[in-house]
Amino acid sequence: MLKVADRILIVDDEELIVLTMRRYFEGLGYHVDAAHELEEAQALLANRQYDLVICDLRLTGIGGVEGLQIVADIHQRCANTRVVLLSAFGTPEIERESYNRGADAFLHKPKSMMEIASVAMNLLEQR
Amino acid sequence: MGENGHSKVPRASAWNAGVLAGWTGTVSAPPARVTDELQQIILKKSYEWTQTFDAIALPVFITRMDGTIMRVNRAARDLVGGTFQEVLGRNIAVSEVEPWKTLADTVAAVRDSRTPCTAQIEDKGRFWDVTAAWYASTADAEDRVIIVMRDTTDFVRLSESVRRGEQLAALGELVGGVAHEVRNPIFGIGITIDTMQQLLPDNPEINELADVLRGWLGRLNRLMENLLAYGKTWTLSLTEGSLDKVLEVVVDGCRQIAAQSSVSVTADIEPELVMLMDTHRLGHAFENLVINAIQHSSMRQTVFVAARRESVDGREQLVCSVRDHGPGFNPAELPRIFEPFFTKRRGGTGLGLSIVQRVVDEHGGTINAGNAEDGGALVTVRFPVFAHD
Amino acid sequence: MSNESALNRILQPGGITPVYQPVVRTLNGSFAMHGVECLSRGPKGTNFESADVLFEYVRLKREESLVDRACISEALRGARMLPADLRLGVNVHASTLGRDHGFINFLRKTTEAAQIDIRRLMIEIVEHAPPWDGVSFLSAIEQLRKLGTEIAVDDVGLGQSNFKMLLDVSPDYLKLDRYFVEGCASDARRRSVISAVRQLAADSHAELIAEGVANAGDASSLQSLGVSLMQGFLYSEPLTLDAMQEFLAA
Repeated sequence: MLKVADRILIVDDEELIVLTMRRYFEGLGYHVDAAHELEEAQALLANRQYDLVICDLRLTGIGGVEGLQIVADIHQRCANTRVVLLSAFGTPEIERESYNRGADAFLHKPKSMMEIASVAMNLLEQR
Repeated sequence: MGENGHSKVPRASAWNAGVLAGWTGTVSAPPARVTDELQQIILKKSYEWTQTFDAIALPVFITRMDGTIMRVNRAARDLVGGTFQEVLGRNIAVSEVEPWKTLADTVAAVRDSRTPCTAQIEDKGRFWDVTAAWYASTADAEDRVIIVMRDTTDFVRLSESVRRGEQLAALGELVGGVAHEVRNPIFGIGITIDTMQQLLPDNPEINELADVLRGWLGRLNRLMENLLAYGKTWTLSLTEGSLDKVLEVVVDGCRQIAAQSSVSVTADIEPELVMLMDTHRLGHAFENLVINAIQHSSMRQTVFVAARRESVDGREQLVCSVRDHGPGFNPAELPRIFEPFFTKRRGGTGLGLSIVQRVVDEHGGTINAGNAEDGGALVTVRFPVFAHD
Repeated sequence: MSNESALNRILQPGGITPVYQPVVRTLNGSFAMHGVECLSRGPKGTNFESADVLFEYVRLKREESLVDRACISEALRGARMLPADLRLGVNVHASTLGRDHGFINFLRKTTEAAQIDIRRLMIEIVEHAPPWDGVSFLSAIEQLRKLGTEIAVDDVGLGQSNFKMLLDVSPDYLKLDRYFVEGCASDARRRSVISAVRQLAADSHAELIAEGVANAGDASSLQSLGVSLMQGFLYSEPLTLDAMQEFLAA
């Protein structure tokens, strides 16, 4: 039986980071969509199905925690979509809150691509 | 005559004037009984006046216009030193050093300008506010200068500490912000290295270089973590502890490092030096100082760590010092020695001393860095302690 | 690396590409052109190339009015090249009619500049979700009527489309969503819904336009239910201006 490639959505306001992560995951054989803003990600989630979302916690300026919103949106929409949050500044409180809202993993930047991919693949296998 | 040594009775009323006129012989002498009663009253008033004058804790000097001290209260006498007899008649310019220098200048200023004058004195870590005014003397028509000094040392220290705290808070915020901002570029570079390696064939040279790049990133990351720790607002948990025990642990812990450079560490620490402290942070701070001293020492030299209880101006202090026989501080750098990144050990972060100062500050203490008389650096830390039952 | 919001890129010249989908009147075996619906594609190569994603994004950003204007400008500019007897369906958010008080004026000016008779316009009202000012909305409808445009209500039977709006707006067309159309040939309950809506339309002197007609079977069922206006892949997918001109020539 032909396995359809898992679909990943990557969300980060830094274009270069999105670009690089996309290349890496495409190199592993995944289908990747990318978004740079909260609303763009939400618009994609409303119209397409993803198996995994990797999302930066902060998508706008200082103080933003838009990633948490994405977690809530996904959780509402499709319980089968896994969510990994990446953060440059996560505090223990934020990390706890993320898990409370349904995030499947919370990673602190900087992390290597190998680590991120490993977490992603584990989550995808669990489905 | 009374302790304040004033030889003339101040004129108070017309009735007294008659009494005085009697003393100078322009009127026939009053009966002996009245004289005795008057003398008693005068002595009593004089005594009350002296008590009042002495009760004022601020040093008060009354001088002639040329600076001759005519009257002092107890606090002023203590400042000069000696007995009242020894002080009276001296010039306010007791010596060339402070506070006498500024006091003399102030008297001169009042004399020349005939207006009240103020001044600030800083002398060996103590701060004074000086107010001087003049008044026409009632006795011999010669004007007087009255000088009041107020010790503002505590206030100045507190203001500085608050200002430093605010600066630190602002700096901390800035530093924290930068550290966060730097995380994304570090992350971006890291994942780009990972992805490049993924695209390239497996090549040992490429892999080695990739690891070198990762090494640099690791160092950047560590610096950033240090900055973040520095920038965070600290919450100290203060509990009662023994400074002596803290120092002993530090000294023990540093002995091995010292031994590696053939440096020895000697401790002369009084027992039972109890104070409120955050043991963890305080230990780190002293560890920093001792390691600094060790690293600036040459082979077979000794680092001295001492701590004792002292009483300064009626206040209890715990005084610790760390000294070495190394090159000492560069006098030109001393004023800025506690600034972040100002001096840097190789491989260090440049934040060490500023963190030490911050810890000392947050414990209500003061830190002083200087050179010992016979060479080497001497860092002295003082913590106030408050007696409690 | 640009921090510019995607919205800016969408609103730039060339950000929106208009495409046109034929709306046909079926007659026995064949059909005649009734008009075209003007649709929009976002910037090529971006997520917004797909209209669904584009408009979901625009709604989340609450910039419906700005984007409606941009889409209409592009659509009408291209439509100059099309035959003058074709109706032009343009999508307008209910919130735009309710909040953008300069919108009617804008419509007037844009049709003038494109040399298009404003009475050719078929205003398709989408996204009926509040909040928008009921009074302003109805006043805008009034003005549109006065100008001689036709009005269609989109997504009938779905979302926020409701009977109150149908009464207040009194549209010329009700657009039936593909959800009810797809597979109606073999689904009696779907046909039942279609029948009810068609009756509703007829009673209000409006016509039904069926969207998403993809095969002959569904088309046939629709016709037997009295629906003759159709739109869908069976007739044509949305076409660029050039492709539309070819389509019309054929």
